[in-house]
Amino acid sequence: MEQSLLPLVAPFALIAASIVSPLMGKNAKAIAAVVSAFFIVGLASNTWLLLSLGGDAVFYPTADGLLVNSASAFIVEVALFLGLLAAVYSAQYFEDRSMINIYFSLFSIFMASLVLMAVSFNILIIYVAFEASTISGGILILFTRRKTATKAAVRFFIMSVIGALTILVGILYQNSLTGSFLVLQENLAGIGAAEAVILAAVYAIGFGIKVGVFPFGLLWLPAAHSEAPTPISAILSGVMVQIAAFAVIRVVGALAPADPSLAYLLVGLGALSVIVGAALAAVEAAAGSRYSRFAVSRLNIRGIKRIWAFSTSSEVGVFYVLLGMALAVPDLATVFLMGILLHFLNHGLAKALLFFDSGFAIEKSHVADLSVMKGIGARMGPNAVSYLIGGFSLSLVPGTLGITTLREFTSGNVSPAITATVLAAAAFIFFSTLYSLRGIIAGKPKVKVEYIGGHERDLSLLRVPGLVLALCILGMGVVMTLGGFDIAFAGYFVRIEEWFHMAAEGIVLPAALGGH
Amino acid sequence: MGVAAPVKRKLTSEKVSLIIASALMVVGMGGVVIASIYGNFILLLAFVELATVAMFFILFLSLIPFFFPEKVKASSIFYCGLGKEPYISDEDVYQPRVPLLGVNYTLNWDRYYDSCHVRVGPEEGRAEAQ
Repeated sequence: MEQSLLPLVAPFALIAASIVSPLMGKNAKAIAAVVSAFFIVGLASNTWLLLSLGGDAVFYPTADGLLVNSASAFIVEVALFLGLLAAVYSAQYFEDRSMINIYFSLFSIFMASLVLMAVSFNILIIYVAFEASTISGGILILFTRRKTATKAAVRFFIMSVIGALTILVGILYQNSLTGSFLVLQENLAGIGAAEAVILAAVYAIGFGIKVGVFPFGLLWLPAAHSEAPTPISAILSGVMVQIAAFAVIRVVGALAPADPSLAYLLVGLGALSVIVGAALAAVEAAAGSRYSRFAVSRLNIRGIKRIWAFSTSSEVGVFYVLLGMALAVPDLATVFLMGILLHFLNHGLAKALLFFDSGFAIEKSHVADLSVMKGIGARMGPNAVSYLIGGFSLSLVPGTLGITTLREFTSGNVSPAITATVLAAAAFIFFSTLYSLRGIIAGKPKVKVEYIGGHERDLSLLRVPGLVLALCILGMGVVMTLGGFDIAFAGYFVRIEEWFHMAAEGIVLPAALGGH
Repeated sequence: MGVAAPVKRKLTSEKVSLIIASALMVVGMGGVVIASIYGNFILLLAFVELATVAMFFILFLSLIPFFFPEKVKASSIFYCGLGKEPYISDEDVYQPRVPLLGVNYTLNWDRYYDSCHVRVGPEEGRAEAQ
């Protein structure tokens, strides 16, 4: 483990982007190009770390500050990749560009705060980055400029502030118990069994509000994720809630209370999240917000983005289930933590894809409600296929990245009840995917829909992120499926599994120095 | 996104407050990182407090306009409510703006389709949910 400036590059590149973009006028494509360039700088330095670190880590200026190991570098890689695609998407997404420079500035700050959350073992840095992501994320939701979006943003603000205050209580309690702000096993080892359970529960609930786990998530997540501008929906679902979940895993995993009650609580909350979120997604797709509830609008709609927001509420439950099982069966902890990293990849890519493509269908048809859209989003072209691939990946269909989560939950290490819950949720998502796509491309709307003449704006860039992500999901999915069944790519499969196993050991660190 | 009315570029007191609060939050964040690295506990708590208070301020900056009424009955203001409708509409008297951003709402997406591009027939199927 050595000191290096590399952990600073990604957050500083994004902060630089946030300073430069307000100075660039209103040309969305020019600002997007500059912001993307900063993302590429961050991505390049992080890729270097990802490829070179192995079991080692680098820090700056001390291990109490920013510390990057393979697990953090992997999380940051996914975040920056999705952030880059969202920046490209944003270049053409907004029709009104009067505040586009402020949007890109806030977007860069938002991404910088999420990256900071992933690259520190200091709970105070994680906490402050958490707050910065709340402020910037909440304001970004407002950019939809609908009254319903304001309601959603206010819900997001209030719930996040409650979460932040809960975490602050945990931080003060941790400091009173240990005199330290580090979330390393050696710093937390002296805490008594009962105190460890209380502290871990406080952190799990505080972060859980931001993660969107049941029941807290239902209060804000479906509203905020569906009302936000589409590129922000993709980042909220594909990156923010996942990084918040990663923070919970890092903190609670380091505490690792011996008492199994917390593990059962986490598994219970996670399983409820998994099934309720997926069921509500299916209800939204089939029947609409009158039955799925948790809406900010008084209209009964079948919101495409609401389907995937409910699905996010389901997918984050998987993290809590895996964390609970890692705590309950310490001998298999690394296996479950590896499952967390793989699910982070699968859900991150697939959910961002589904939001990007849903947004494309909405912009193409000028309709966001499936009951009105029915059939008029048919001009999606290849993005209809990519939408299907994203949905299949979340439905754990072999041949997509979903195979990784499927293998985790059918491996024999998991109780049949949990396997059944996850498979039932996958079935709900499978139904939601097919039913919503049918609504987009087939049939006739029940109400009369007439287009008013006007120019069609160029939306070609909105196609790109969905297609790129579909290729990634399919490419990696085929390797993992064929390799897993020993049909082909067996060598690659073994090396990938070994790498994830090594990275999983770095999610929770025993000590800052000499831990590995 | 719909085409919005031209936005006035004016530094309102709300925007100035937001800029000051955001700057304090950034100072608080930077301070937390530096103080935690150098282990100064008192400074650390001071910076956490600064960042948290700034966050609360921004929260209330969004909450206050959010709870304002959406419409003001103009006739109740003019002539103490006794007169006829003045030559000014309720919307002209008071139009809520997007909190923090200080811009007008776009109304064309209120029914989840872009009314500038799409005309939807009778909407019995979209009766109000609540």
